[in-house]
Amino acid sequence: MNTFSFICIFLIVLSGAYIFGHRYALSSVKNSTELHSLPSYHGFYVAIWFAFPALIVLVFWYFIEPIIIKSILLESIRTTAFLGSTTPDLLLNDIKNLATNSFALKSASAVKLELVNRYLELKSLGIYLKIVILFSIGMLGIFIARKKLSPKMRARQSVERVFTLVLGVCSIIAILTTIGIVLSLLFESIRFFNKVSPAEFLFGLHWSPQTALRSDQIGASGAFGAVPIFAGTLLITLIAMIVAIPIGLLSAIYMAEYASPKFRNWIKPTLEILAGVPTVVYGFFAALTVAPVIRGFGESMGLSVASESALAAGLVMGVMIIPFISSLSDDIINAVPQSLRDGSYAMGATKSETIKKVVLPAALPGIAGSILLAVSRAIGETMIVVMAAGLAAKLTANPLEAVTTVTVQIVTLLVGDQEFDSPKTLAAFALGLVLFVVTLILNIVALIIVRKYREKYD
Amino acid sequence: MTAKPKMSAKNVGVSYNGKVALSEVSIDFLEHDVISLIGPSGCGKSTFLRCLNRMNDTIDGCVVSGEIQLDNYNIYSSEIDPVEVRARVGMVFQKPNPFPKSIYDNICYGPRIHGMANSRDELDEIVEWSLTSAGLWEEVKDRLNEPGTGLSGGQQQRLCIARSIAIHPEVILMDEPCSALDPIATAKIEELLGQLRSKFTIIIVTHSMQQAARISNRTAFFHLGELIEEGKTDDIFTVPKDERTQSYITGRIG
Repeated sequence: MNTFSFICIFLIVLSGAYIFGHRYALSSVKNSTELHSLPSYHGFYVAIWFAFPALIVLVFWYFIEPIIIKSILLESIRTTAFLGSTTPDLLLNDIKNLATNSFALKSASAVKLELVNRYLELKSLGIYLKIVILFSIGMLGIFIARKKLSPKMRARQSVERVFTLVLGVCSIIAILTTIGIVLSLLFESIRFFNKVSPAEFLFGLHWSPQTALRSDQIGASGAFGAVPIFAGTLLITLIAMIVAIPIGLLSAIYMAEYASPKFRNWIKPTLEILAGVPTVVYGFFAALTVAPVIRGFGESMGLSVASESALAAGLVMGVMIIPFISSLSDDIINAVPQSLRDGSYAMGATKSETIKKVVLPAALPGIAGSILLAVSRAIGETMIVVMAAGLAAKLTANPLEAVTTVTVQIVTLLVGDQEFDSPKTLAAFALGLVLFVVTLILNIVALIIVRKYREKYD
Repeated sequence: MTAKPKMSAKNVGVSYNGKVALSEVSIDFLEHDVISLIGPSGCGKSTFLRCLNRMNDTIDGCVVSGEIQLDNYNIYSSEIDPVEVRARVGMVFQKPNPFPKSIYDNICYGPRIHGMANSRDELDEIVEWSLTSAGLWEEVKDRLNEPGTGLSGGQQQRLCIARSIAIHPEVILMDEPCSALDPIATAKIEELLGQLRSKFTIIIVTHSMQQAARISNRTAFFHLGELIEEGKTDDIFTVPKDERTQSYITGRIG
């Protein structure tokens, strides 16, 4: 029996349980108003009594079954005394692989074949056993529920309690996942800092993480001074902000204050489409279109421009960030109460005076918040810089040279076959931690600013 | 009635997106007078008030017809800049709306944009004069650098009055200035209006007929987008000419 038919049968029994509860509740009284809860709640009640114990058994079985099969197989390995040079665990893995690969099975030895057959037998036995146990536990649940059903029973409260629990569990899953990611980042970083001192990592000026295979080669130790990477990230972020802040802010002012509602309804979604363009598209736009243009232009002026310049990546990243700033700032400018504008107009102020002296100062904290959010987005941006910014960790303030960023280095350190305990790969986690801490701080500050500003008018 | 009118409206009509809100309003406002506009909600009195300093210009789809004269200039003529009109005809709103700036900067806002002061001393002078005229100086003189939004509701409204008189307007329009205030703050503002009438022409929209009776010389009654009658306050409240006015002031409509 495959998984699909199993799910089908489970759902059929589940709806059967619901219908049973529904009918049973209605048949137990003359008039449906005598029931404490609506009949559908009785139905859900029975269905939950079926599904919950059954699902718990399923989860339990999922963990228990491999352990039981393993111990049975190990027992038979020991009795046949077939081990050769391998350990029991390796042999077990081998058998599992053979069981799913019929082609390799043909060339397997007779002893192994026997073990594989034994394994497959146990597996199919396990499946039937699982279904029998699962459904009998489920039926037991329905039986218990039927005992509990009565017209006065508070089925609605019980059902709602279960659903509240499910909702709560779902929200906790997201938080737990985040905590798990942070912890794994933290532990891997600690392993890195055991090998490379934090001071060297944070303040060192030389970055060359490629460690040699033998200790007598050049660059045997590798260098993990991350300052050039941080500087490259800052340089590109700065260029992006120089593009995005004026354009984003001015277009926000135009949309919020000057544009006719018709135009605004058209241009705002259009700008927001920019935010929906996949970053990889921006990436090859930067690498294949913008970078050659900049290089050609620079050469015509007699400047030497790297083909992967910080300027190209920064410019395109700035374009990508524009909708974040313009859309958020537009909302914030719109949130400035009309009464303030009226007050200013009533003093004989012109529109531009009103915007410069009343609206923008009132919206400034919120605008600052939106800019900080955009900065944290720019720092964490990966695809554009991977494609357009280059790999050389050069400590330079010249936007025409190739620089590298934290995200680019993380990608290059982890792409391909890597051993996961060398300083080289662990450095990626340390960089990730730095990135995470910086963007976290920026986001927190931005949210505090935005929230404080909101409180002022509510 | 020999004095020439400060402002006069002739056949003023207003429509929002084609929907008529006000029609055929003609009325004169004398200089240094206090005139109340009363009437049930939605009768067009606030709409009319906002015509008098062209505040309706800021509302999309609002069309004003007719003529409004300020000292014999039609403020709706194409040569007139609405910004100039609003500098001469100030406005105080229903809800106090101080700018999120210091008390001092709130008052200085108008004088600064109109270039009325050349030095800090002159600004200080304007601030003190305005706040004194609005009866707020004694209460705030030690905290001029604190935000205006930190004052109580009544103080905020007097700050807004001080802010609008700082640019020496000729007419002050008030749109239910006391409806968001408690009786004590209301009494203070009414007292203030009594003092301000010597310097300004005041046109005030109010929902309270007692307030209209207390503070104004003349009263105009609006109903369903029309000006029903206008006259001396005492006459309107004792011997109204129109039946609808009679019904309103005795509480039968509105």
